[in-house]
Amino acid sequence: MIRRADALLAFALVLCAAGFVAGGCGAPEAGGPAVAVRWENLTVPPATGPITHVLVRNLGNSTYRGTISVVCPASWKLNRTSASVTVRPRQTARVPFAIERGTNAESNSYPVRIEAAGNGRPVRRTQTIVCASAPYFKPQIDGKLDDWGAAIPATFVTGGKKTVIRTYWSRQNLSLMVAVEEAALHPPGAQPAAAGADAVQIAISPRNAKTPSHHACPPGRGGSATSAGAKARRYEFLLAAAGKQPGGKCFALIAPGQKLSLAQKARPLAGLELPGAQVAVVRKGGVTYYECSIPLKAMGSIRAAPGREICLSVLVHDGDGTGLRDWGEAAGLWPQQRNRLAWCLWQGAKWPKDPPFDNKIEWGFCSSKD
Amino acid sequence: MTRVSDPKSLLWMVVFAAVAAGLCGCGQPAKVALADSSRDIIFRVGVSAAKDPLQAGKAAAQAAKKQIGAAPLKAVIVSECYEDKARKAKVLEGVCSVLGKENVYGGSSYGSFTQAGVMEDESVAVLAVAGKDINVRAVCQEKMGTAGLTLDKDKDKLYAALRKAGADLGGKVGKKDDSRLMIIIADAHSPKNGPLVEGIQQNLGPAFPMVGGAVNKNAGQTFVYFRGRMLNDAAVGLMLGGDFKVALAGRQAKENAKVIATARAGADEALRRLAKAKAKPAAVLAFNCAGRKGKLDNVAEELSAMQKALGKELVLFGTYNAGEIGPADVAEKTPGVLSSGMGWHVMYGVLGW
Repeated sequence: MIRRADALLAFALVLCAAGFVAGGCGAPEAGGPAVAVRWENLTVPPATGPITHVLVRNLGNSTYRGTISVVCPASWKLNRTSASVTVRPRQTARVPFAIERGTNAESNSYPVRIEAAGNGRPVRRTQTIVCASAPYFKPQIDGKLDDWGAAIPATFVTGGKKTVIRTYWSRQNLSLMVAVEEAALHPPGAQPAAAGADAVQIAISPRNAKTPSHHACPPGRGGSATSAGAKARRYEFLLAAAGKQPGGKCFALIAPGQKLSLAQKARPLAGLELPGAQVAVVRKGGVTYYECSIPLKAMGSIRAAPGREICLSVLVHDGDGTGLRDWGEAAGLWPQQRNRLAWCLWQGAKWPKDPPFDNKIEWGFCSSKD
Repeated sequence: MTRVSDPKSLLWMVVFAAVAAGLCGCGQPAKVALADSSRDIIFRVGVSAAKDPLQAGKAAAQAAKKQIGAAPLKAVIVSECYEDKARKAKVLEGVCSVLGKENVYGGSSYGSFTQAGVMEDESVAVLAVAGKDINVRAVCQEKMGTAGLTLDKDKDKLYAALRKAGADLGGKVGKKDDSRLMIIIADAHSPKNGPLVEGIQQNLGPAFPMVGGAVNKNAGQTFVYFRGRMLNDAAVGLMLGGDFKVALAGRQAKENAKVIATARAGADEALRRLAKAKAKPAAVLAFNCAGRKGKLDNVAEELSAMQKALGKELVLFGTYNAGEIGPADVAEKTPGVLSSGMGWHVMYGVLGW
């Protein structure tokens, strides 16, 4: 006869085994970090005293309870330097910290540290965040580059080469200037054989937009199903040099409502030119400057006003140099945020083995950089 | 803990909750008793979002003028957000053509809000202050000395210039026995409005009621209006005097839900303070932060929240600014100081008797 204690023990063992099996796809390896953390970029200058956020993603199958401690630049004062957090499995908490006193750095570069102490061993991360924000200004898109002094530069380095993103907004346009340090410029159609073409790819979305995951796990097992019918929630553009300097073109690759399956076809660019966009591309001193104004009328779900937030990301294609440069990497996105549905393929591009990072990265509008 | 197992009991509880909610008017605009007609003091608002800025200025001014009737006009405050200097100049021209430039003050803003609604796109709102029982003394401090200076590189020099400008402004306007409220409109975005206010308080004292806002700081859009002129690097002060009472309140918020909640809480407090002074409201001025507006999922929700406290009948003149002046909603307030230059605030000034 089986004793009750033995039956209970057997039942408990069966439950544990079932839980292990039900852990599902994407479960962290045994001994892996319990959470992933990331400090979001600021979307208005720190001197205005905004709220800043730390993301905490629970990578495990049980609720995470812990404390998030942060270290900010010495010249800032936060309302608190630690916060308790409870995060359900596979969920992400967004923990706010108010900047009570902040200062703007000319470099627009702010070193920060995060420590999450909870289930398992502590998770620590050091990052350099930026103010990712577009001040109000109406630049002349003419290749002269002299209108960008009032912008807030977001700089990142890939393979030893610098990329600087500057943005402006006005009632009519969202303007960008992307400065790409590279050895040579080979626009689409003029790239060397076997090398990808040089261009800048931009994705802009409303702040609450999400990109469906390309992970193959069925729903409820730690991932989201890929859906052929899923629709884009972004506006995506490609800037490329064309003709004599400062000639350039802006191609509209996808818009909200279009099927994401479109993103997976390497389409020719001809016929995708965006009406009303102004582009100038010039080379100066080893840097290619892509200047562009995109009419806000072409992005109906984007409303520009001080304090508003959007998602914005940039890929730089340097086919014969560093390869793909990804703002998502510089912004500190997690490995699991790589997503092949996040960016459109196009003819002439050369893509690395790993998909680029998701394009849904915080960016904001502000009045001025001061 | 009692378990409700009887469906009838549950139903009665739902009905009771619904009635209670209806009675407490939680979701409805308040019914606010307004100041009576014992004083000849009138505040009236006119608005226009016409595409043609000249016509917009005229229309808003005419709407306000019609409402004040024969009452003597004492001051006009303009809040407009037309694009670029030329269009702003046309708005101002339109307002001045109707109300006379000698009375017209104000500045470029990020939009306005009144009982008629929120106006974010190109639009103008005009507040007419009239009546023989209110007086308005207007002063302007031009050439404050801040042009070209930045917070990053010239903070000490900038702050010194602003304190001096504020002291000069406060000195020019002075305080009289019947002075009740100073309205400040300045080219001094947060945090620069801080030292400006400190300077003014050197002459008016730290406890004198002041409200106001900093004009739009978008490139090419920054203008203070004084008697029909468009100025940069300037501050305008309007000292309102007469036999009436004033109550102020300020609230800070940086996220959608809190922006909405604090809009109501601040308005509630301002009315409570006025009631404590045994006065009923005649008008409310609201200097709000454009950054707060930027955090709203739906900009109309903040106005609705205000109306839950203020009601829909009380004259409301609200502007969105790049810095606000009024009671600071911070943990570490300086004792004895009523108004400060802040950011992320909505500042209320309620006038009544």
